Amino acid sequence: MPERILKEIQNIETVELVAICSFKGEIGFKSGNMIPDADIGRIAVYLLRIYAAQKAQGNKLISMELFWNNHFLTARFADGFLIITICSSIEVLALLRITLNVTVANLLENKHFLKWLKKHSQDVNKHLRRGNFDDLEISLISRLG
Amino acid sequence: MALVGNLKDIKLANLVQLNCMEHNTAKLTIEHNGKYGFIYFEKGQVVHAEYDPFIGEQAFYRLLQLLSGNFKVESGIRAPAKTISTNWNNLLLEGLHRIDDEDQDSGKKYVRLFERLYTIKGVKRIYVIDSAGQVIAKSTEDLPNSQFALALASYEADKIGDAIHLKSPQFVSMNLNNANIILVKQKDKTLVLDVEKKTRLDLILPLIKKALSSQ
Repeated sequence: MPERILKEIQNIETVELVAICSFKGEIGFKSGNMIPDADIGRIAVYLLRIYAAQKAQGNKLISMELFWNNHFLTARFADGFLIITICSSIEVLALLRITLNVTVANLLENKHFLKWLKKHSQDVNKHLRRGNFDDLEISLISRLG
Repeated sequence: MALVGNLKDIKLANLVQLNCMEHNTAKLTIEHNGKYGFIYFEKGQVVHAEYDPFIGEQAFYRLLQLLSGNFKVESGIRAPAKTISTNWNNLLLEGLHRIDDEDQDSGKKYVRLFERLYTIKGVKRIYVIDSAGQVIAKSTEDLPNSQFALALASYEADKIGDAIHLKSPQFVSMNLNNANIILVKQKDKTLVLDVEKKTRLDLILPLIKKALSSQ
């Protein structure tokens, strides 16, 4: 079922990658081979640090988009997981946002997915306490409210 | 009838010039982030200004630096005091000189950029943070206390770019429950734009790009 739901996103024109990651940073489901799994895992951890830092400020990060010249990364956060997509056309972003919202709702009703999510649940704040940080990251994290 | 508007649409210097050239007696009220400032004109001369805690010429020069804020011009209202005797031409020139001088200072060199960005509909607040999260320039005093989280976001976004074998992203958009933030990396600094929730990114990003290319 989750694979079928992911296909709906990947069927959007120019979408090259869709991945669902738990708050542990583990890839649950993936569609597309643009990036090796290890790099998707790294990207998920960076995104989760951003999410956790905002949470520490009392904010809830719902989604995030990164714009390059010809590539666009979208991260849609939900309770306990995030969906990462990469596409190569800015014109599909509006459709992608709507589809991601629907996908999140569908996933949260999918028993198989919820079982996986429960198994891989983790307090997202751990991403600010554990991991490989450089000096700048340590300094910035230490100054979060 | 009072003339009302926003300084995003007409510069304060132009408003002052207009009232002086028309030989108006009027009260100009400016509301900027909940703080009020006043400039009084009598027969086309600026005679009094208030902008807490400043009064007189200092208040006038401070008000002249504002890039946004609602204003109202009410004709026929006389000044409660006379604290400015400098001719309006010289007053305006001195004020603009001061802005130019401050532009040369590191903290103020973004004034012109902010001015251009403020013309974009939906932009609420603009500030610049360095990689350590220190605010080095800002358009308003009332900044949310999240500069370190945003500096971290900007830094991690660069690392995401590395992971995909791309450079720093041109723009990073963050949709938060209470705000919409756009980050623009500029060398070792990050420009932070707080935009209205309903703002469409596909419309605003090209305008931001254009404003930045005129730097």
